[in-house]
Amino acid sequence: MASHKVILLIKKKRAAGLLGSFGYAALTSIGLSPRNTILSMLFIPVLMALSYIALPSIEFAKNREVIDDDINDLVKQSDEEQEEANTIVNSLSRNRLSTDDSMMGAFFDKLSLIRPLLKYMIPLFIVYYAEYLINQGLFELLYFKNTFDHKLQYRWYSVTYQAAVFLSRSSIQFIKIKQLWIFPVCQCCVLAFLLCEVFLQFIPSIAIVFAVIFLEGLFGGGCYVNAFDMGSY
Amino acid sequence: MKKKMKQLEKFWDKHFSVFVVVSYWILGLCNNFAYVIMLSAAHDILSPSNKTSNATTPTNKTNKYDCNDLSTGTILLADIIPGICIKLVAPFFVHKIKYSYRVFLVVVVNACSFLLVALTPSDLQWLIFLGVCCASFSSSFGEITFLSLSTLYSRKLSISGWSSGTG
Repeated sequence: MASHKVILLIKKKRAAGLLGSFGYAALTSIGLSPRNTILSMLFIPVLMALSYIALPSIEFAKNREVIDDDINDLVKQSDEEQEEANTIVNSLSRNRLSTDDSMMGAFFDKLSLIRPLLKYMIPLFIVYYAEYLINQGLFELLYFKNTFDHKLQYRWYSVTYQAAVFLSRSSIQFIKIKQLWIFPVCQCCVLAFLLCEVFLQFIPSIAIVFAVIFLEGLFGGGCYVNAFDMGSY
Repeated sequence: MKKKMKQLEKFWDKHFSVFVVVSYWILGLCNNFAYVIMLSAAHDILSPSNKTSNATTPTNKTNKYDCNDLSTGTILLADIIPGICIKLVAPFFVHKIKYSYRVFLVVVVNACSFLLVALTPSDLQWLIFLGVCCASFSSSFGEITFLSLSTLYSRKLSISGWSSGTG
């Protein structure tokens, strides 16, 4: 029973991006210099090594019979995680098969697999293109002189964005949007708006920019999660 | 010694699902940490002023954007391109390397990336970019390693833990 509870608790936390950027911003806000903050993150490789060591040994796992209890232990995965897991598993097995076949044959096979998925890939591509253009191109240019330090502005823009992505990716159980075209359109509007702001500098307060960045994160995460959801049916 | 191994194996058998899910969740979390940290710290990494202090730097009055020489987009490039390259190339030879060596490589390169980015003085910019490339390499190589390892650990458990951690 304890294992069921642990597993349920763990399943609902999708937080690498949010923890990373929030941790960095929080530690630098407390007063640690950027250099010391990054050095303090050295516990991450250590944690990685420890959790690899904690995994049962490979010989044990190979010899162990696949017991159905393992799979039933996972009390109802959420649909989205189930499909994500299945897609990854399927693509892994496809990759293993392709190393046996001739390279060209497998390559064209893979290309033909992509065609039906294009209607999900194109919106995702546009959304991510706009997103990364804003995040890595425009964040540092959205500089408000009267408020806090420029570096702080950049960091907290990143945290707002990650928080919005985290929120929207968790929302798939409540809201499902089937018209994927909405996301690229909205994301490009956000991109155009922020580009205008960079050139014309008409926004009076930094709070508006934070709100717009939050929206940007919502659209990005929403597109990802809805595309995955639609693509897995 | 054999008795202890048998006890350990019994323990593993009893709590197999918990071990796999928790470990893979932590691995998924840690794997992408370096990538995210590099992007979040991009502005600080590139700024020419002293990285060791958190004091407010004097605002650059001639430049209304107060921007650095290089855009944070260059950090994004350095954070992504090595990853893509290794993902394209690795499946051809990586199966010849033992899992423990691969994980060791991932952990060491990850640690190096943090050290390089934090400790290099700001004028050696190429070394800073090397650190970011190391972070990218370790994230991608780690992803390849752990996902192929997951086939040994009841895929449904390990991959659901991994995707929860990565987010």
